[in-house]
Amino acid sequence: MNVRTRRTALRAALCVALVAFGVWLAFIGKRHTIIFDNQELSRQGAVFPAVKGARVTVGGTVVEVDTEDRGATEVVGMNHRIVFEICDERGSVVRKIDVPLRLRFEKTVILSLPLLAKGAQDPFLQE
Amino acid sequence: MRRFLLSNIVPIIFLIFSAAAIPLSGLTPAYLAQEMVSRAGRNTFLVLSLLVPVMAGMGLNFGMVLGAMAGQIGLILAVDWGVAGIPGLLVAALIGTPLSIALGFLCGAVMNRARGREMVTSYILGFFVNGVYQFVVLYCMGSVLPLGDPELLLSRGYGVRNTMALPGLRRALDDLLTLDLGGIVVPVATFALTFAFCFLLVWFGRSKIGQDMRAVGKDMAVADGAGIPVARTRILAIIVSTLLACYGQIIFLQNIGTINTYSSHEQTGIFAIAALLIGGATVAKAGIANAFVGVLLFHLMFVISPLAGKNLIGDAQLGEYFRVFVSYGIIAVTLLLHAWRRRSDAEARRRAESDAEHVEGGAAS
Repeated sequence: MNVRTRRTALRAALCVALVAFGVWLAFIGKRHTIIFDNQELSRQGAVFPAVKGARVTVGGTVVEVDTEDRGATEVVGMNHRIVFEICDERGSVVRKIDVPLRLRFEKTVILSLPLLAKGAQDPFLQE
Repeated sequence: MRRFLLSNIVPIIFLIFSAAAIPLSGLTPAYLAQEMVSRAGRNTFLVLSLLVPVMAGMGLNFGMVLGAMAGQIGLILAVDWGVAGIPGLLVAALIGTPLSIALGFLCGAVMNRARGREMVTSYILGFFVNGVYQFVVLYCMGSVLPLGDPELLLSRGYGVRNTMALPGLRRALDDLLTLDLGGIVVPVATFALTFAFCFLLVWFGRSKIGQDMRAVGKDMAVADGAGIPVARTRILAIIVSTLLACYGQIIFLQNIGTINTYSSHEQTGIFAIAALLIGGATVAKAGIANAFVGVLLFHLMFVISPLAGKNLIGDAQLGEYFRVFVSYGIIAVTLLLHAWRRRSDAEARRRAESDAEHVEGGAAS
């Protein structure tokens, strides 16, 4: 391989590496909005009622979602952990659910708390 | 002492003006200190990007506005893709880099065809590329170049909004690492980047390419005779300056937090050049110290003039007019001095050559 060919190959590899680096940055830095939906819904004949005393923690942010309401938060990056707590009237945690969340290109993700509370496989909603 | 005073007359005058105007403005030292720290952080990188073309003898690079536009396009796309924080700034820089290199190459190539008139050429080229930028951003974005976020677009469906927020990017670099010094918040990360750039500039000046640029700046004919590729070196100087202006504009806008899509870049070149000249630099000689001193003095005038004018004359606008008059008058005087010095140097050379011919003619007879 002569010098010119090697130089061209190195420069091309550098360009590819920079583009790959940019794509990686876009993934790790992308902002996503997670909407927590606490409204009653029906799916495949079953009814999932709204959850009383719903509290969600993600990325250090705590969001309390009233029944028949929605809450939202913004997160940055691909991998997150959602901690969904169901509290009683006194604020004590009655039940706690840990949900890993892996995001990619989505700008907004809607998570149904009633579905999550009932242990549904796919608690995400489409808008 | 006399030489020091003469060579630094401009910053000394500005210092005297500022010393007189600060008490009149009524601003507290703490407020002024915080403003100066913030402004120095966001503007110094842009001013430092002007040093490389001065080294290469190409004068003040008014074409740095091309790099600023490239940086803004990078930021628009980073915001559209929803990338936040330092990754967002890096994405903007990665997008702006090839654009800046291309625009810098264009500017350098045009300047090579206008040797001796580089500054005015780059100034006009800036206007031309501004037109292209506005065409791209006002018409192409959202139509030919699709943008995913409809909130960035004008109500007609294409064209970027006049003012754009930078969600997730605002103060991403400034707030990365801060230091509270008696109530004054210092953006350590921003200054660290600026100081790292200063070291890079010093290293660059001592490198082979830096020495080539100095040689070209001193005398193009001698440099050409020494085997230095003059045209290529000059283009490289402009590319480096444009690229650094791109990064400088990104640093500037992350501090501001919003982009005025069609005007943020317009004043970039003029303000940076004014600051450098106020710092005691000339068209032929500029250093890192000139950049820092100039940024502080120029922006000090920016902050205190309106209030000093209001308290002294009763009209803040008059204070602003005074600042504009003095700041840009400095550019005009410096450029005049440079032209006068070049002419007198050329005349002195002509006289020396004709004297040498007379002596030779006398010796021969």
